[in-house]
Amino acid sequence: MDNIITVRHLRVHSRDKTLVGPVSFSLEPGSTTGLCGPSGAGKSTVLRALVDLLPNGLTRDGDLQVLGRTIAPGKGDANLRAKVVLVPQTPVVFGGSILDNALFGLRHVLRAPRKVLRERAEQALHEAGLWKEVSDRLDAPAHTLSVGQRQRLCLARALALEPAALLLDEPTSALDEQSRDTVEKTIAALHGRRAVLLVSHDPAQVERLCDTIIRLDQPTATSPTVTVS
Amino acid sequence: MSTSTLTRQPITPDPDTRPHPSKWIWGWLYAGASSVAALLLVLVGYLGTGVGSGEVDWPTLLTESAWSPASSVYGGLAMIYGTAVVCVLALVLAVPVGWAAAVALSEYLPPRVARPLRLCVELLAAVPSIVYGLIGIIVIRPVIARLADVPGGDSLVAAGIVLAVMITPTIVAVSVDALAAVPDRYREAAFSLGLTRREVIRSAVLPLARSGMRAAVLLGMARALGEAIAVFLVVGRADGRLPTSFGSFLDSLVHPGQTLTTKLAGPEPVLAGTSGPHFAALCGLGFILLALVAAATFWGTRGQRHSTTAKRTPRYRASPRMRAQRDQLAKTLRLGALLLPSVLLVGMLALLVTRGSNAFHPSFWFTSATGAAGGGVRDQIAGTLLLVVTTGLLSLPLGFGAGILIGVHASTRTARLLQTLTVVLGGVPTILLGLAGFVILSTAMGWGRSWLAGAIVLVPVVVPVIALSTAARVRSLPSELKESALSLGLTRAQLIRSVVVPYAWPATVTGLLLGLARAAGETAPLLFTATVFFGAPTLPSGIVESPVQALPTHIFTLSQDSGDPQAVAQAWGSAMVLVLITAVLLSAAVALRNRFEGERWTT
Amino acid sequence: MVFSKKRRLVCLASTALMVMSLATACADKKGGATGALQVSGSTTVAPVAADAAQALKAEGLDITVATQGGSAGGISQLAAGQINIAMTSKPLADEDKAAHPGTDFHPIQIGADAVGVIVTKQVADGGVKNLTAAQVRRLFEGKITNWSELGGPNLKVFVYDKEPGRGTREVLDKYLYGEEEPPPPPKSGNFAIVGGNLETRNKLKSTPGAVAPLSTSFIEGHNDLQAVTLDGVAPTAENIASGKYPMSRPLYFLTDGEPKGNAKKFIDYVLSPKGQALMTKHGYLTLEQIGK
Repeated sequence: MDNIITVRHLRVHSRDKTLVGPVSFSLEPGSTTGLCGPSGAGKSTVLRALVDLLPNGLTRDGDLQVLGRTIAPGKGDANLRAKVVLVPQTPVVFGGSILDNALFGLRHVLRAPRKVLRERAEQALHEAGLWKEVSDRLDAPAHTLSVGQRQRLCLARALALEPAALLLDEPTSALDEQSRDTVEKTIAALHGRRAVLLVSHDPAQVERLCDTIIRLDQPTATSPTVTVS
Repeated sequence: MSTSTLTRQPITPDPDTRPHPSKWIWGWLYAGASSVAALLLVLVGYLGTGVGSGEVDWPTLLTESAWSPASSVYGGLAMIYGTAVVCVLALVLAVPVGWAAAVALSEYLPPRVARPLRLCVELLAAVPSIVYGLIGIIVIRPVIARLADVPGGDSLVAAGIVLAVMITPTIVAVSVDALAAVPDRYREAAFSLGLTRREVIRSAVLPLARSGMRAAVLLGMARALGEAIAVFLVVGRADGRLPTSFGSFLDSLVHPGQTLTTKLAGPEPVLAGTSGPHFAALCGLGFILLALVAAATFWGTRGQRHSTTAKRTPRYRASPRMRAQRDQLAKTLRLGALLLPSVLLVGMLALLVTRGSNAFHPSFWFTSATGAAGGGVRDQIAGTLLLVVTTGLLSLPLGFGAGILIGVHASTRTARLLQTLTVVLGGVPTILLGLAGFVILSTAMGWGRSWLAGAIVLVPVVVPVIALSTAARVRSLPSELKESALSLGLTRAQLIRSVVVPYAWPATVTGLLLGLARAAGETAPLLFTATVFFGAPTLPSGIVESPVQALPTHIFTLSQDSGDPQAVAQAWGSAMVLVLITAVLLSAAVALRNRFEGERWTT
Repeated sequence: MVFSKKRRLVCLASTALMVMSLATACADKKGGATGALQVSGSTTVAPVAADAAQALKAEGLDITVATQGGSAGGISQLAAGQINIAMTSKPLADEDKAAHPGTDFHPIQIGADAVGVIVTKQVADGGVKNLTAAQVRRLFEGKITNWSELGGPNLKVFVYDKEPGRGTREVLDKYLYGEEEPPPPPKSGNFAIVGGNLETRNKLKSTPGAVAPLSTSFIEGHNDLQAVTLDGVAPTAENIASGKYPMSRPLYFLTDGEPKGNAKKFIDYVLSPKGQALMTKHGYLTLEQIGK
């Protein structure tokens, strides 16, 4: 089967200098790949480049193929992002209830009866390990959840889309030990079924969860900065 | 964990099966933005035709100070000077007080106290400007006369102060909106670093609220430039005063002057007819005014991009011993700034209640007028409500659309251009709207005196207020929210429909309220297009030749020349009724907004 | 934030189309004008007209009274055929007739308004009880800056003149300059412009050394303001009727051609004793009082 994401010589520039790269790697179906490196190495930037959500002022070059399509810089679209879903580091919840949040992406992407959407959302909550905690208060406002629960809600909301790949940006950085274990368990359960690209600053975590590890170092002018182990 | 998850069908999102693609949203946004442009174009076209109808000597208009239609001298320099002085003065006085009061409202007072106060401030913005003008006559002029030892006290300073008083509520209301949109976690985070409240506000809250607070100033400026009646009553309206030295500059401040707006709102546009050199010169003045607003807006928004690209590193401040004292000082100053609007509100209400006691008899509300000043004002109330509601219905979608488009275009040239256009539209003196509406709707389109024409000429008053407050709120949308939504596969149209619109609309409601409150008190445009003083049915039966009666024009006509004491009482009673109606409308909408603002967007 | 150019164009085009179709749809709806008698013009006369219209309502007469554009607005609307009766608070000028050659203006005087030169009580008590035309002229030209120059108290003069187009102002100009062109307003710092009578009275009261032209009925019952005598003539009804007092302005109804039908009914009512009582109610002089 083809790679889900293939990246060759990807670089991200600001107006006057190169911030990241060149980076080359690929994400195979079902694999869990770790992307690690020190703070400021541009891990999150790489993730954003993959779904074409770079902040204003940053541009990328190099070759990017997603699901067999070559994506020119600035040409990433919403349908692509519904298949390769980025889960940002800050767990953002939208206004509305917990269920509304779990449905948030799905109801914009999939045309189906409300019942079907709801089933999918509930399954996603199961998958993210949040179901037990929230099954009795799906209609409660989402901002009443703790940070750990919000993080898993964000994960559920992404999983509900049945993405081909999940791009997780430091999913456990804000969590206590117990929540971290739950999230890690969820990620581990995805192994073999969905491609996951996991950004983490914690080498032990990457070790635990990933079968491929990409190391990203501070970019220098001369040496290539990426080693794949 | 169940394995049924594996049996789910994979999603194949494509443009055809996507639910709620919300593409109509672009039509809506562009309709809103183009309505702003179109309205402005119509006005410019009107002025341009006017200028074209007689030779305008631009160099004279711009450099000569004397204005005397009798001897065909048309110089506008003294008016440009007057406009600049009055406007700068108003902003210098109102912005610090308004911002400080807004900070006090949103950061210092408990919500229990702040909410009703916020409502009161919005109410102040709804007091008809003629009431502000009367307060200027009764209170501010004598003070100036005594302090500066000049007789009369009609002066540029008095006009500046009255305007400052008028725009403070606008600035406070919009700034509070911006501050309320800053998520609490920023405050929490800063407090937990051991910062004092002053430091928290300075370094965590204000940077996020900045764009909204700037929009507040722009709105205030637009109102200051567009306001006529209140300035009219205190500026003295003396032509041709231009200082030649610094001493005479100071002197000119406490003496009568003239502004572009008061010249245009005075009797001259009516006396000048519809063509000829006099009318052309007046249209030229209109152009100069629009150009001034545009320049000020452009200059005022220039700093925005600047500050985001080149952030200066904060200096380290020594003497941590003084922190507590400084914190205390800031608190005192800010709460003190809040006193000003409160005193104003109490004073204004006292004035209205004592003079407009008519309004407290139910029969005044529910019987129609008998003759000029007898009976009640039922028909006027119905007419005002009809005008305000129609204007609101027309303006809300347009202003909302334009505002969101300006907001999502953050910091690009398009956004700046659109924003400038919007402020310019807001700064147009309403008399010009009335005249243009009269020429286009009542005459060219044959509507005659029509309530719909009145509602339409009020639209340009309301749309900019809605658009600017909405745009400011959209700009403060946390980027994480936007990113999260986009990374879930939403299209841009869906992002706007499902995230931006629900996030922005409390600010839109504020804008609508402020705008409608201003529109409800407008007199000049209605006199020409929609209202009669007597004899219209309670509710119009059609569109063409269907005038209504309205409270502001009723107040205006009664307060002109009739020597009947009953007429004066009726005028004050009508003013009180107008304020009460606006108060009810405001409270209803504010209650609605508060309910939805409680539904927080957390990040 | 890249929107496709095509989509943008489509949106713009559709919006423009929508607005235009709306506009034409509205323009097509040419409804018949209401059958009401339309009266418009001066804010000075409007309350009288409204009261008269109220009285005639009982007889089934439908009348609307508007104040768009003041006297000048009334005249031009009458000429344009938009209204039936114009209300003016100044005599019809030759320029007006010249501007609307196709209109047969037919003025009917319904009353008058006496204009006084009003000073504050401090000034009057200080000795300024009478002024000559020359003194008034120098006051309003800004050449006298202290009341002591006129034998009054040591108080700075502050002049409030009415804005151009106000009937009151034209009466004063005619008294001071006759048929000559009045000079432009002085550039002195003690000169300001006012509009309506209520505003003028408010400002007179709050300014110790103020002087302004104002309808004399407006200071009745206000002891802090006084009208000076002009060349020894007081603004009494007799003096105005005999023409001795120089400053009064007529209040008119204007029609295009002889008034007919409802217009005649309306004007006749205002000229009747009941209608003339309304003039008194609003502080104006009746035709009888001015001897007509």
